[in-house]
Amino acid sequence: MGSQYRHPVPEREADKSGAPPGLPRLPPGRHGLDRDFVVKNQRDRLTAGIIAAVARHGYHGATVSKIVAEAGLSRKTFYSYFSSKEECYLQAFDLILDHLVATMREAGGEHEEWPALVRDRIEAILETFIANPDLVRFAVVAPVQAGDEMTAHQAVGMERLLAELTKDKQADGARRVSAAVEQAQIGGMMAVIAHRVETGEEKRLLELLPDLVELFLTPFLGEAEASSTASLA
Amino acid sequence: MEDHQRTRVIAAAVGVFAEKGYPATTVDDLVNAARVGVGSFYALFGGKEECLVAAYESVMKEARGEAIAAADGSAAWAHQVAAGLRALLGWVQREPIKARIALIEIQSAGPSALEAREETLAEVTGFLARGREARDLSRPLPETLEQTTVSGIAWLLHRRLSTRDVATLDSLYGELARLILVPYLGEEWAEREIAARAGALTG
Repeated sequence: MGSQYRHPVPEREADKSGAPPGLPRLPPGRHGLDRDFVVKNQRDRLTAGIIAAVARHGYHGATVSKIVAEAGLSRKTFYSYFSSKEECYLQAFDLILDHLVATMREAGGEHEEWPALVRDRIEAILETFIANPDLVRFAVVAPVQAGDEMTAHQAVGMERLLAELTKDKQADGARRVSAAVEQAQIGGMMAVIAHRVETGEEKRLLELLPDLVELFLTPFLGEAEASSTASLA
Repeated sequence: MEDHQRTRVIAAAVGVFAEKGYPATTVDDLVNAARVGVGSFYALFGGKEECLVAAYESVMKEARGEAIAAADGSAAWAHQVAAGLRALLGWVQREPIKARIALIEIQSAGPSALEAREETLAEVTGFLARGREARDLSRPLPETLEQTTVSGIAWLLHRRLSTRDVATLDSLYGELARLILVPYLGEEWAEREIAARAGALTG
């Protein structure tokens, strides 16, 4: 199929279906918005569309038709931006990861020590997920159902979160923890979060904070210090 | 007769699901590999998901058997955990195709597959949670401890299988046993249990 439409065509039939919540709707017909705005806007809508469609129907159930229906755009527009659902999925996944990493970086005071920073960073992850639980369904739950390629991509994402969580660690004399244990820690944390969302308890995600902080810190700091940091959470 | 055929289809299905992945596998693939007719297949299973769940139950029965055989049922809880972990790592290393069904493919199917997986996770977390009794409860352990540990190790094994990196899985025994046992036993005790198991099994 490829991207045969070099210049994305401004969508003219956007009003036919409901716009995804929280995203602006383009006025119908030819309008005065410049092309960059339209491109950005349509891309965002397709990103929001695939997140909603995958969250609702799973990776395999989220067809391009369902994605464009969520976005209120046409298939033709979809294929002017992405050559396939896979490409669209991977780009949306990376955007979510960028966003998570950015919020983790903003979290935490400048003079905080590493354990407190970990608490703030995990809190930032949980708050992002509470604001939009579909991100958990899309980025944590869906890849393992989608097959090896998507799971490999997800594993890279997990590595990014892990690197962000462990940043600034050396300064505090934490113990060395093997890569295998670190992988189990981030995997376990995400699985617990996913389980909460799948059982409809997404509003209570923040209650997990003390547990997640303690369990993450224990191999690095020992139980006593990990639980004292967690109790502040 | 039907039992024999069922066993044959399940054995073939383990190989097909592991090789093609559950989503890409068709009933045609399964009947061709098992050399049975489509009619016979549907007499045994409602569809490919039911066949996957049967394959999962079959490989889990084997894995559970290995863990139980390694762990002396009358031994202390920590002994059983350490021996069971060691046996499971060895099983995944020796049987990566079966382990792929148990740890990867079961997650790519529908609700009945996820339910079967949840049951296994509940069984394992339930067994680990018995370690709470052994502990002097000056402070309660995190409620999600067992879920985090078990799904974390499942994720680690998932990645190793997926990247075909299982040849040295048994070398992870010490650090994973530590990850599981330290919260219940404290570091000193946990080290003693782990060393005892490592010695008993390599010596």
